[in-house]
Amino acid sequence: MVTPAPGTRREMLNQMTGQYTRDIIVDAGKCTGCMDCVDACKQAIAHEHPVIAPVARITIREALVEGGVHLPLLCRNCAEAPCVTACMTGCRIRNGSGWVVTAYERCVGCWMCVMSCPFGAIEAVHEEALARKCDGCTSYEVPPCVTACEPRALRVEGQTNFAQGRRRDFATRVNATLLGM
Amino acid sequence: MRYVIIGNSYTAVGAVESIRELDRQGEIIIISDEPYATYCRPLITYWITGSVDAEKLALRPANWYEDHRVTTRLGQKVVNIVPESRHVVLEDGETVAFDRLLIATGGKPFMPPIEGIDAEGVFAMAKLDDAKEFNAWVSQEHVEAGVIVGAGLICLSLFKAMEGMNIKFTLVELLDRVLGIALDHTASGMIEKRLLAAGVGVRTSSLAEAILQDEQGRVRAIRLKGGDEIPCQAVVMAVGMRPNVDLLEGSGVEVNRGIVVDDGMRTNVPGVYAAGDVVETWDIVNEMSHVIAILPLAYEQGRIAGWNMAGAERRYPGGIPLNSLPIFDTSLMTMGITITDDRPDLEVLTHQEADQVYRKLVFREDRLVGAILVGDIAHGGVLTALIRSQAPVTYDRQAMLKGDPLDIEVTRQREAARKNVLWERTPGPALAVR
Repeated sequence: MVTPAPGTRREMLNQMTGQYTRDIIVDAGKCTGCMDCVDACKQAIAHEHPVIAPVARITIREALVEGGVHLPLLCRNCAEAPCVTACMTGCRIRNGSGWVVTAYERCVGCWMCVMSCPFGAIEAVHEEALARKCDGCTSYEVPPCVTACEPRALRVEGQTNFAQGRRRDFATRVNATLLGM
Repeated sequence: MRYVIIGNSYTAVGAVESIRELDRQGEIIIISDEPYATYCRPLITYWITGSVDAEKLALRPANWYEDHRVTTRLGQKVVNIVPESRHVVLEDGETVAFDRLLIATGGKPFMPPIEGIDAEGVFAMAKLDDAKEFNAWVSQEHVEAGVIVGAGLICLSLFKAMEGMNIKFTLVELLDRVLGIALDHTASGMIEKRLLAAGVGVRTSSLAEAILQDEQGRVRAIRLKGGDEIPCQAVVMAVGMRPNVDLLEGSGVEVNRGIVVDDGMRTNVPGVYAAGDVVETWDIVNEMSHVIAILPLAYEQGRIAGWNMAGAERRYPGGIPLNSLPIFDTSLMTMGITITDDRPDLEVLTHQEADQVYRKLVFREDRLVGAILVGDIAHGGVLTALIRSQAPVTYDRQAMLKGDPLDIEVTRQREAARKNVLWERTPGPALAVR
């Protein structure tokens, strides 16, 4: 996590995300597996990896159900985060932006968080001996992965709006398939 | 409300953080017999080598106590608890009154009663003072060879320390393999091979019978059962930890092997709570209560105890044994039930790739109850979550076994197939890479 310089717009955004909370919502049904978000993530974090090629902090998996549904995986910013619970150095902690972030200079690579994350969203980077995970890009107005996502499977949105959208989608599907409207 | 917490490690930190979520007013007092602000206990072996300095050893920033309005009484030992009159007694006779008390005293190293255990140059390795003593001994004396008794996690993390020290270490383990309480024969053999390659002597199925001293009372050698003697100038006893319950004598708090608590971390005495390595925890996979002395559970239980002390009702569902440790270049994880010898009720699937990768999944009917990952540890957390939730596993077990519970290979291939690499390195703050 690179802390934005004081007095900048990025710092202001960082504080705003803390105040209003911001979630990166994943709508797995819309993901086409194009990997644009992965590239955008690499671009955004490349400067944090001076030696090795950037390791993206978002991945897309083929979900385990039939038909190959794609599932973007990134930090879900858990309220009671198991990675914070398990961190033995105290380097992973929720900061003022409301996002669970990592102080990489203190990480020793014990992989306790990798062992605890129920989403498999923490990458053990063996070359650096660091456990890397999504920092939420809280100093961006819109995180780069969300900007890159054309099918809008990743969105920055409140949960009310998101739920309403899902219900509307469902109603449309029901109308189309069952009622023929 | 006056909260008193005995202990100043992960459990205490968890408790303070959750109390302050609910109660901004109450007074919190932390009493600890160690004179240090809260520090990362597993990092003391990193501290010995100097790969972690004093600043990085701190678990929370220096202003944490102030921010959470915690009064600390460090370097003061609690000798007795009097629940009837609601106070604890310190070593110098002073009493501290409490409304809610949390016992988070953790564990103390078990020192087996063998001959010569009190010789100079015999160390435990559980707290910062132990590491400091060990460091002082190694720098003063001419230590060429050392012996570590007990091939557990404490001991294996010590090997990080010895790399820069030019000490030839030998492991003495009572069981027939290293890390015998967590690893099966295959996994243990892989680790042992790496230890041997790094120049560590490994003596399994060996009982340390006596520590031999020279005229000045310093360690000279260690004698094994059967008569073998290993010359050494330092001995680290890492046989295991026991719950630190000395101060509870006569207090009426029920103690079995550890303190007995309910699912809200309450002891049998009203207003007295206990959490962390000192309690007996419900084990989800073994379906019994026993002491699981591991860090994530300590913090978790501290959180639960804190909430309950502050008046919110939170239940603790129980924990599972979990271990994660990088040994040289190999990473290692174990969760839940891992030793499956003579367990016909368990279905075991194993997968091995030469000497590099070993994965073992243990199922009971349709539930995952344990796993060992050696080498490839990616997404071990998914398995941990499956074990802890005890949800029925409907996935393809062979795919899970090959380290591919989420089709990682598909993603890797797709990532490699993308030729148009969009990212390029932009100048920015460089990060120290170890």
